Amino acid sequence: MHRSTAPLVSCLLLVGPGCVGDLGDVPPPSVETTAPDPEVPVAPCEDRRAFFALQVWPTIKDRCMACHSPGGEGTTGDNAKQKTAGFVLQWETQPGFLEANIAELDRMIVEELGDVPKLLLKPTGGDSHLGGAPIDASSDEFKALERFATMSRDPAMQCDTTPDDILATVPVVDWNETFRRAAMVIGGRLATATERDIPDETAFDDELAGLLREEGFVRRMKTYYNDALLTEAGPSTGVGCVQFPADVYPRAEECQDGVTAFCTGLTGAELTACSTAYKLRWSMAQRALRDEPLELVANVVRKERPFTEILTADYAMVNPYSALLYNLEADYDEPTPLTYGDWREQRVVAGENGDYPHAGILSTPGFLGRWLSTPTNRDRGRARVVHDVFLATDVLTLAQRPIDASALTAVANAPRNAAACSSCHTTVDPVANAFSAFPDSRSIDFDPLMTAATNRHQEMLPPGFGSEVMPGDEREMLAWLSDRIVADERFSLSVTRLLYRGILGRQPLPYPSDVAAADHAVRFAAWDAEDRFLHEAARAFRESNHDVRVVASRILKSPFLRAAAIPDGFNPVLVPRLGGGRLLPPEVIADKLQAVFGAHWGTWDNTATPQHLLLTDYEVFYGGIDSLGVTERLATPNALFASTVERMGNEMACRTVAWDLTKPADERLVLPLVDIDAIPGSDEQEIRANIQYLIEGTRGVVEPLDGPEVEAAYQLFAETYADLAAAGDPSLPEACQGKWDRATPVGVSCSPICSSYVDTPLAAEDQITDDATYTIRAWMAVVSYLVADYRFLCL
Amino acid sequence: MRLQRRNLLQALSGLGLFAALPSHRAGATADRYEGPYLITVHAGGGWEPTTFCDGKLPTDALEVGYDEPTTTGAFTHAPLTLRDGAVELDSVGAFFADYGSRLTVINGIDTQTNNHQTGIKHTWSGKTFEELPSLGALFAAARLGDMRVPVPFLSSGVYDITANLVPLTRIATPSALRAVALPGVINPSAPEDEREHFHAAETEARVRAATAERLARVGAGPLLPIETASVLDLEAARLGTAGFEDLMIAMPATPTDTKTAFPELAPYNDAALGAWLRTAETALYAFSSGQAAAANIFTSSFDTHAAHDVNQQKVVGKLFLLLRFIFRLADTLGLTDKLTIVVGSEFGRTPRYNAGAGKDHWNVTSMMVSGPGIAGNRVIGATDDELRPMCVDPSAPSTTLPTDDASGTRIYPAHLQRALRKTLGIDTSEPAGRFSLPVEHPLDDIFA
Repeated sequence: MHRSTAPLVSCLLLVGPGCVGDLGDVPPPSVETTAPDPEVPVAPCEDRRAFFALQVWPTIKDRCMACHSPGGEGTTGDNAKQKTAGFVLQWETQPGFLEANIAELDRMIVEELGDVPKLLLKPTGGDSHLGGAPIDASSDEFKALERFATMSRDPAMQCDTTPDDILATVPVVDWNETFRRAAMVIGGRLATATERDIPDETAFDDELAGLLREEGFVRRMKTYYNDALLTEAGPSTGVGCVQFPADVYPRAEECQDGVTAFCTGLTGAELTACSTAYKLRWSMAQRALRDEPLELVANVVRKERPFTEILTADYAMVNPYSALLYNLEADYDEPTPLTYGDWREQRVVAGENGDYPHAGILSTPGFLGRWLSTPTNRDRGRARVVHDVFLATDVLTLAQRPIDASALTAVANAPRNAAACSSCHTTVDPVANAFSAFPDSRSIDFDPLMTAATNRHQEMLPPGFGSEVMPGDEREMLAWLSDRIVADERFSLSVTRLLYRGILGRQPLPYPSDVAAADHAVRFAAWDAEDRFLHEAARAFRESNHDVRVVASRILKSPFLRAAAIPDGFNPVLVPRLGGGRLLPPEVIADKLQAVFGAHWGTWDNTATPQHLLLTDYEVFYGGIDSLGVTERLATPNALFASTVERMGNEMACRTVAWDLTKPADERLVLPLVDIDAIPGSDEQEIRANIQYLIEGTRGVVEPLDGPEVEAAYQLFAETYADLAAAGDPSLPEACQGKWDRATPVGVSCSPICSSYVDTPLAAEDQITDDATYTIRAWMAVVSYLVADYRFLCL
Repeated sequence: MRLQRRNLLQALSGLGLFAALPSHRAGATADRYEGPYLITVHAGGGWEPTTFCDGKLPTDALEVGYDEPTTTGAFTHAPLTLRDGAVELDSVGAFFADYGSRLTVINGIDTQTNNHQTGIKHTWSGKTFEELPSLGALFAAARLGDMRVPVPFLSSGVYDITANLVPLTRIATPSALRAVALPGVINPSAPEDEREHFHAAETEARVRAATAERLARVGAGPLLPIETASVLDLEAARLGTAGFEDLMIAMPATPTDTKTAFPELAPYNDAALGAWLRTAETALYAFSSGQAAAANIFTSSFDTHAAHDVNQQKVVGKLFLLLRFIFRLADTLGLTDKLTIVVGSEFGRTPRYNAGAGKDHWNVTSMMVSGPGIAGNRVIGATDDELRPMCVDPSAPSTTLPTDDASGTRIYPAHLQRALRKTLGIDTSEPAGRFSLPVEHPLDDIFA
């Protein structure tokens, strides 16, 4: 702990005109030095960031941002002196705005005039400040500015605050429980026996490293990125073969012409066969285009490449179907649904136009069609998404001023020239214009001769990024942009925030902008702790050569997931953000069902892949998104959700109990510890043991055989059995009979391509078609009960 | 209120009193809400009011197929037949002839943005940068109070922020809804007497009771606040399911599609329109069975940056068919006297065409409102020849003033949201009070 002995400085006030005034050549104001007031207690040291946020930023935001924000009159030179100020401040919605603005103030502290920092001269009207004197030199606000300047010059006045001071006080669950949570939320599976016996952090790290190399993590990363990119929006978007100019990609013509043209002249069975084959081929090709952006994410994660490659990849992800469109079909066998998953890195050549200008996700048809451009939008929608997803910046909140388009008709090129517009467009338009090799549509028909200088939107700011203007001869504009994005610290922060939301199911706290709120300091402390955590994870991500697993590990090991209790007096804003217990999303529950019961809830698609009802018919009911109209996940359950859970439990019981009993005991996942004729009374211990086993699988805890949880399930089993036995009816609904292998699909109407897949029927001698022992339905009741359990549904 | 209840339950949980709370869904009886009801319809992408309710010619010379707007009742509109290809879906004049007597149109609304997201938020909440609850959520929360119905606020997407006032239910396909609403039935689409159940009735009740008791045990244990919240949310969700059977009894066995709703257009069968109709159908039957208070219907394809005339007229035609369907079914179900319908969009479209014969975003738009206490055949507000919003007299909103008249005010979404709150009778409710909408010159009686 230190206390400064440095003198405080203040400066005399100079009154000047408003923002666009001109003071001319005015000598610097005289400066006097004041000693600290012995009556006022001065903290021995302070957290400079917190001091800035709580004492300095509210004033600067109020008095300086109108001119010194990006696009403001001070920063564009659109002022009386036609002079561009170097002092540019970022809005609160910009991630890292505190650090960026502190750096700007630091620079203004180093720059002096007459031994007085410009930071203390400008706001009182000195140094020809065009904005006059927005801060009274005798005010408390100015004193705070002075103290900040003094603090910045004297490191001894700055406390050594570690990033996770608050979070470090939170008691956490042990490594076994931590891994159980991680395995479920990231891997979509249960912890193995080894993983349930983790002695220390080193062992945990080893096990976690393995978990993060599994396919489950790849699936999660795709989900997390779709939540932001929304490229899984389905066939109603602009993604499809219409994006491909037929003169460059010849097979696109067949797709664009339609089935009627393709099958002209055919009748009867030939027409049906032709039509079926055509629709399959091109619907799958268009699906492949929609899947490509997320397959690129999957590819980078799976191959453990630097995660920056999602934007810098100089290749497309192509499967046998999209190869038809990309002029690459020679590299693949004839596509079939079963080879749909054969994704490969491919460089595309667009005929005489030459090499396709690959730039990771940004150049994929899936992105360009989902976020299409128009002659008036001019790629700005794409720029918004780029900022939102890859730079953690919501450009819609960069300037909080209303737009009156109807009043701007007199302003030529309003986005560039009208102050109401330029504050945002200064940020948006250079990024938007970097897309200008592609047309203002959904098309991927790029212009190979287009350069940054000849860009498509000459009325807009030229292609660039931030303050950097793209070299005029640059043709690989998107690749140039991607290189800058991934080098920007906001990219790493965007990855961190995206994983934080995905893993924990909630957005990071917004900056508490209401400085007048009574609990502002508490809200700031909560935001500050979380923000420091996110920045620290982002820093670790950068230092690991952009290993996305480092970010996942940081979050999984944090109290945000591991909290076991809340310390007394803990920050109340952070309290509801700590620990497990949140509702698991449908993607994780779908995996969990598969892991516990060995079968999914649903049908099979035409690639013989499980079609989870939770990810199709019931996805929106269960709080998921459709990536089009419904783009935000539900955080709290509703009655429809509760009924979906009940149906899920019933159907899983119906699908798996009798089927499980058709298998030898050592192959069973549901009932490995009982026989079909195990009944209450004589076989109570076996039944209790199996209940204990099922509870461990569904809830992740081992309950005592004679404890209340096993007892509750046992009573459910025993009472149901007693009812059934008393009724004496052995019939089992056909859907719940053990007649199918629920884990193995078999093709239907295969000639040679199968039109669909269903559960494989069992041989007649292996089937269970009734419930003569009354135990199947009793176990079904137990399974329905366990699937509907809080611990099954929540982390 | 739900939040108050949650706070109470959290406190009780901390004292180990959770188990004393009602926790059995089995035997729980559903509340039945008898109205009033609200449907909001969002025309996604930015509609063009000059086509249908603020008729005027474009300011450039592009051929639009007619010489002058015409009028039907109080409404000035383009004399257009609305087509989807060769199919005549509707005509603007016919629509207003049939339903204009129920409608108040507000023209010249300044949404202060040409950005989709901001416009959507502004139109349906009254603010651009704060995350206020949508009108539907606010209405449902204020009207339902402590009543528990399974689907208080239905939505098919876009702006359905609830601010935790009420549970949000996203509408999906009716067949999936039926399957979920009858969770114990193996074949929910079968006639009632042919339905099979997973479990015997006694077993089903036993499983539900065991589930509820287990939840109470969890709730009684030591929990983190985040866990307590989840437990209580699940409990509330379970208790809310009791009315689903009433809803399923009310719902038709075969969901509506375009062909069944509009046989005169057969074989026209538009998938998007069919989905809108089914959403409306679900909402209206949920109202009539006492299971919902508000619904938000998302329609799309109004963002006609290219080939504006063809595409906008097609989608307006489909929107009119949706509104016709809502009016008709509401009449059939006896809901008309209790149902308010608000139709709006995030902004309008430019008075000029772009190079692709499209029209781009324009911050001025219109809104159509129908319902009890709202006069029909009425237009308030206006735009000038350049499609700029004209002012209205705050003391007499029916009086239109020039665009730059200092004594007037432009009509902003906040004005309309305030007025709608008042018309809906929720302006003095506790939820509305928590999300106030201060404006300089209120137009709170604009619908009176």
